[in-house]
Amino acid sequence: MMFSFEEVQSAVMAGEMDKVVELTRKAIEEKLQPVSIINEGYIPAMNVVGKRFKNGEMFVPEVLMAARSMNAGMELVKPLLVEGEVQVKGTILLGTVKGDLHDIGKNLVGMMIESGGYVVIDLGTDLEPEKFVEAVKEYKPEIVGMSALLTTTMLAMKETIEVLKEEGLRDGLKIMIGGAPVSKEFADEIDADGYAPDAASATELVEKLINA
Amino acid sequence: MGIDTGGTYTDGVLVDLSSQLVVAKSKARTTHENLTVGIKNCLEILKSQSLPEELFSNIKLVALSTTLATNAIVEGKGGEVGLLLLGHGLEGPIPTSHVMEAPGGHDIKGREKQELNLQEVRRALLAMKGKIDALAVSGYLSVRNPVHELMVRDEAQKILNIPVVCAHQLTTALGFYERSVTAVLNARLLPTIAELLESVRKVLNIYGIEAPLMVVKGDGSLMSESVTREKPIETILSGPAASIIGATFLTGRKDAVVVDIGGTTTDVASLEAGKPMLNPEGAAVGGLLTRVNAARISTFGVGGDSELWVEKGELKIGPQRVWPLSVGVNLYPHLLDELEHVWTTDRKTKEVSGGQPCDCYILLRQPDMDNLSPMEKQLIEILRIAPHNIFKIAAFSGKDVSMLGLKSLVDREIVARASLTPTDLLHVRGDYSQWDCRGAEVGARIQAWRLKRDLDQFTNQALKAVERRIAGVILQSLLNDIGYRTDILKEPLLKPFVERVLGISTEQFQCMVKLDKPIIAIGAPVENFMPQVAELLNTELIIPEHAEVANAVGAATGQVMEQFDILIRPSPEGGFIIHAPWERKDFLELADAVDYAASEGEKYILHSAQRAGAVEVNVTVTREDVYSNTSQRWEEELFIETRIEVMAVGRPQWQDEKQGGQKVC
Repeated sequence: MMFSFEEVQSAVMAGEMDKVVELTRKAIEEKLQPVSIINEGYIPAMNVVGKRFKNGEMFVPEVLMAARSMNAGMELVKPLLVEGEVQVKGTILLGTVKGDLHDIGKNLVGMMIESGGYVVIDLGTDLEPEKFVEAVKEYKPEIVGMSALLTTTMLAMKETIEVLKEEGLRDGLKIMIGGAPVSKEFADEIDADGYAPDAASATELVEKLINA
Repeated sequence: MGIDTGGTYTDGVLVDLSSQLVVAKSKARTTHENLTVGIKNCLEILKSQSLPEELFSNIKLVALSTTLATNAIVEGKGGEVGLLLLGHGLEGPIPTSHVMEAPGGHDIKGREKQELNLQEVRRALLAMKGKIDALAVSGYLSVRNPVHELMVRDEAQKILNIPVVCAHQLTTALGFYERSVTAVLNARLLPTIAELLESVRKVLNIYGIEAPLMVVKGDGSLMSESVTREKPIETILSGPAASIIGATFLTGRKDAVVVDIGGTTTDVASLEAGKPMLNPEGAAVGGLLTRVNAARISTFGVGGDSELWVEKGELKIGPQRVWPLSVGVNLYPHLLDELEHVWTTDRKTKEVSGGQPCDCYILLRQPDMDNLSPMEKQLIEILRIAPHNIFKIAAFSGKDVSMLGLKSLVDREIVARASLTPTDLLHVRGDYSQWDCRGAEVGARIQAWRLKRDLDQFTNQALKAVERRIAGVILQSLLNDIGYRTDILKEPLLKPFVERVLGISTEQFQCMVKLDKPIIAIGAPVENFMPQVAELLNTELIIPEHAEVANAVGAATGQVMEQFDILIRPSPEGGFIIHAPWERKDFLELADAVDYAASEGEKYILHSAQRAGAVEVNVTVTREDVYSNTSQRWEEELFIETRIEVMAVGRPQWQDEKQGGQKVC
């Protein structure tokens, strides 16, 4: 049987990790371009996943499975990529703020953004503002994404932005925030550049902020 | 009396406070080496006008707007300053070499990040002792808790016996780097400003003026002599702010766009409720970012003396400033013959690149010949005899007209270039006759020919282009005010609309903007350009009388204004924290925190306003509780913080007056 993009796409959407790995191996044996496996196989699938998630046709566990299965395939393709072949569109730092240990939403956002061709550096959870500062200095990202799932930890987002200002790092940096209790109004109030209600919109927001 | 020491002129005005009228004005050249000479000349001219004797002796207040601090920073002048940083190092240029660091500083909640190590502090202070004239202290997040800076100040006063500047007293804004730079610059300016105030006082004494002396701040308000001695950095960029205040006094308008057209630049600022809009980023001077409050002024490289040049069949405006040809020919009549020769002969013989055929060069000063290249020496020798057009210079030097290499001499201000300017075209059109019209005309004819236009077509087209450019920069400035940064003529999506607004194109559709406030225009060529500009922007134009001394009027009519915010935030341990300019304090109940902040804030600001020289002080305390909704509807709104804005406004104290104040809540 010949390799087909449709097949790998539906495997990714269904979150069938083993199948994605098997199909990817086949594609590599058939000497398909590694870049096209990503661009014509995985990414269109993840775009569909994003849309379905936004419309309520898919739920968090399914999206996570889809993203994980794509990543499993990606592990095989990555070593074959010639440097510079896949253009890195930007670097995004992600983390859950101080006092908050929730990470499912943040991880999902990370995988969705990564599948859009960005480098994502996940700093973890319960992060002091200083951790964001150190990471911004080290990785010089285009965007910092902060997550909080509790109303009590939302204010830590404001404080993190203020520490970035004290350090002179706020200018030239885009800041996006997310998490269940977060609102557009709150984002404006704390001087964040953007807010996304879900992982699919987070990817769109990244595109928007990078191109702004 | 208002005095403004500007870049070129020192202006003086006498304003009658009861009738609110300008009763006398004068202009003298600014003397950069010693500003008081120009101030004295300015007073002399005022005095020599046959004014009623009592007018001069009845002066109740002298207000000064000065570029001294700005110039001193740009030129790197001032005292030796030590900077002691607490709890954090600095990256980026710092305007002093004596920088030390000691453990200390706070976190964003104002809790101690590190204990202040007084032993280390003492060691650092002793290491700088004898090497510095003033000390600046800057702590990490000191705007959330000033206690470490205050402790170091007390220690430094014991050990060093020199002035100490604390960063948190100059600004309450975040930004450790900018706060530290602000503190260093302030410390550096202390001797410079003290010297100016003393010599101005001496000049005033000569004229028997004993009135209080006040100085304009970057936000257009005034401060007393004693506060100026402590916070000289507040005077930076006060000139443009004063001109905005002057514009509002002269026109009685509270909301307007103030446009000041000078020789080199056009400055645009917005006036809101009688006050200039402030720059939220703080003022930048000499390439250094500070956190000083200053009016937000957008400056663009187009003015009466901007070069009108032709390149690849297109007319361009500025940003280079040149001598108008009409001025050059007026001073050196033989340049007219040389320009006529360009018109009759030279223009046809050779194409000029890297310059304009009508360019003439004038030697400004005899340079140090050792620092010049052989070619530059030859050029100086030629120009020493007389100024010349470039074709003449090429003939004398035996070089190609496009390869004369005069630019670096112009950059070093050894040589000036004269070329076609908007001022010249106003001479051609007959609006002006101050300088030599013939020089302007032949220059215009040469440039018109290069664009394949006749003289009239060219003159009208070029003046129209200048008007459009000014309308464009006003639009750009208004967009900057609302946070839009990109160049409106370069942004691809905006360009077609902007071109239609400015009348550059009418293809397919038209586009109009309407300003919702009038334009107040000050500066020399405003009568000639601004009516058309106001028409393009569909708004009213006001050109006030005495516009040429608006800065000095603004100084004389300024008010004393002090303002700060106190933040009250929920504490993670329960209760509330106050972050005030003088302290950080914990409270259990929000109501108690608010009461304390309001009453202490009022006392504090009344004291500051009176020290700044205010009488009839109105204090307003405004409380704002900031909540934000969350996306979870069953949750209550999230309390973020309470902001207590404390503001005091008063008029400056006049001679023989007592201070007092009242409160409005």
